[in-house]
Amino acid sequence: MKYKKRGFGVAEEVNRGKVWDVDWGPRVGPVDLQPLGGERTVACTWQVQFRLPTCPDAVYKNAVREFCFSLDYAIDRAGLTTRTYKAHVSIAVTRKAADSREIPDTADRLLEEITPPPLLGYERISQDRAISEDKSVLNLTVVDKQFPAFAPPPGCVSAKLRHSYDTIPPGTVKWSGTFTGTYEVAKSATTGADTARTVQDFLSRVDDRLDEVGRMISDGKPLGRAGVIPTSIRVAEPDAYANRQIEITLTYMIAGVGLADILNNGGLWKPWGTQYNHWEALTPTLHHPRGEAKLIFSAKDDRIVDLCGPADPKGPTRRPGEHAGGDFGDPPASPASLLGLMRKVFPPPTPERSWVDYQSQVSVQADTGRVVSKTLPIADGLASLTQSGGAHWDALQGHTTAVPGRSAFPPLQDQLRPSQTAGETVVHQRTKPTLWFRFTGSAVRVGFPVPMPELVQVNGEAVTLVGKAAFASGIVANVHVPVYGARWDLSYVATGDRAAAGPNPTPPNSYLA
Amino acid sequence: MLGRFGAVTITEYNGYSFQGPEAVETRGYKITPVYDTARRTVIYSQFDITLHWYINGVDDVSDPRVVDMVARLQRPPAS
Repeated sequence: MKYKKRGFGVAEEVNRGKVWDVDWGPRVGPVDLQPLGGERTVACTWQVQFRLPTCPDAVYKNAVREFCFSLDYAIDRAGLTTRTYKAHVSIAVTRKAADSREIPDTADRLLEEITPPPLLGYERISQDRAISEDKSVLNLTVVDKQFPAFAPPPGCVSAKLRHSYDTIPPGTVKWSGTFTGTYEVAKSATTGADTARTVQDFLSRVDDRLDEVGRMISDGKPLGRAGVIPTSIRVAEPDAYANRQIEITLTYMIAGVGLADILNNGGLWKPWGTQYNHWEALTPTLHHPRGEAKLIFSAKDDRIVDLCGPADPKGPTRRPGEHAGGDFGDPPASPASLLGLMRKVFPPPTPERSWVDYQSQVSVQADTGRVVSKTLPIADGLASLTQSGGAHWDALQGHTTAVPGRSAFPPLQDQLRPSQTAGETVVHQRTKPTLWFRFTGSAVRVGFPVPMPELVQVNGEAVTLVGKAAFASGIVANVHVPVYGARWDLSYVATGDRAAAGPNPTPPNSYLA
Repeated sequence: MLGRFGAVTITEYNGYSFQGPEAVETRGYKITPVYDTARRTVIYSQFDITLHWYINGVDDVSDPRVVDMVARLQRPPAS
């Protein structure tokens, strides 16, 4: 556009040479046409608008047109400050030419310049930015919130540490203490070292508190660290889809202390030092103006759509970050393919790894070979019966020394006395001692049947299966392979000489074949 | 200073040449300072110009000369 100056010393041309409109202009207005003079003349009225800086040293391109910001400070009831920074920056820009569809410049390139540095002792809650449709204005809102007490461990976005005590019934002298740490690790901190550092921080807090706990007095003496007994540890990933999170729970038990001890010396509310610089240095992406993804809007990502002028050789504008449609991935899996997928995810186990559960018990029962008898009352009839059956009831007379002195079954001493009175309890060694073993159990196995177990020996002594062997087996479940279950109840007897010297064989031992 | 703006007019836009300064009448010429949102400085001046002129020797507004003129004056300026 040319305009003739008559004393106006700004420029003779706009959007040519040095002087360019600084806000996508000139912008044209309506053309008003009015036929006149027997329709041989047309009266024309037209408006045009352009925006120029009027100073002699003005800059028209690749320059910041405007930059302003405001600050809001909000103080909560705890006295902590939240600072909200709102800024906008605009650039001097206009179309390269009437038929050009390119964006010469974008205000997004100024993001780093207008983003305030982090405040020490504050965490950056959010950084929101918006680029205007003409790409000449960038709006930015940054919220910084003061840490209530301590900075999270380095590499963590947020952290919570819960420390609690519960009594262990009955009574109130046994306590279970619990530490629960919940950490959200920065997306950039995804290495094992970052996770280890987080766990290390948790354990150092625990260690610090337990030092305090160990100083508690129990039964007149310091409890000591040895008096703190760890009882469980739990590590969890609460949400695998979310930013990396770590949950650690550690419980411990102490005894012999009361509520006052817990409140005064249980370590609750014990502060620790924090280094905000350290946290910020090791968590750099938290404060990066473009966040973890570091997205930058490029002027090449936008094109001016115009029905006039030559066709755009690059085609219609594609929205940034989107892909062409039509690719929706694989179709949903059928049940058959899901089964195949299951087999792929969980291949059938090897025979060695197929055992899910195996329980077995061996109980021993000793048959001493002895019988307890009572002498009959002395009466005529019964006395004669005793006399007549004496040979029968005295079958083992003379065998009482069949068991040697150091056997598991020591010999009876003077059990058979020559003169017995009526009603006395008498023990007879009727047979040699025998050991019975009852072998019971159950097993679950994936993909393979459970074979019947066999008890071969007990403490090196051979045993023999006797009686009715009970063994039940079947399919108890189906995943993508059958799951077999079995129960057994088997009886064995030791065939060795129980009268021999030596201890009884007692399970458990390596008796399973 | 404003008095010097009275004689300013546009001689060409987008390839359309106005028929000399004598034929074009500048009916409106407005320069508005635009402040930043903080109202601390002027970031640029907005120029609003209204021109009035006549085209002679045309049958009506559908005359090719008029159509060409309108097309040029309704587009962003060519550099």
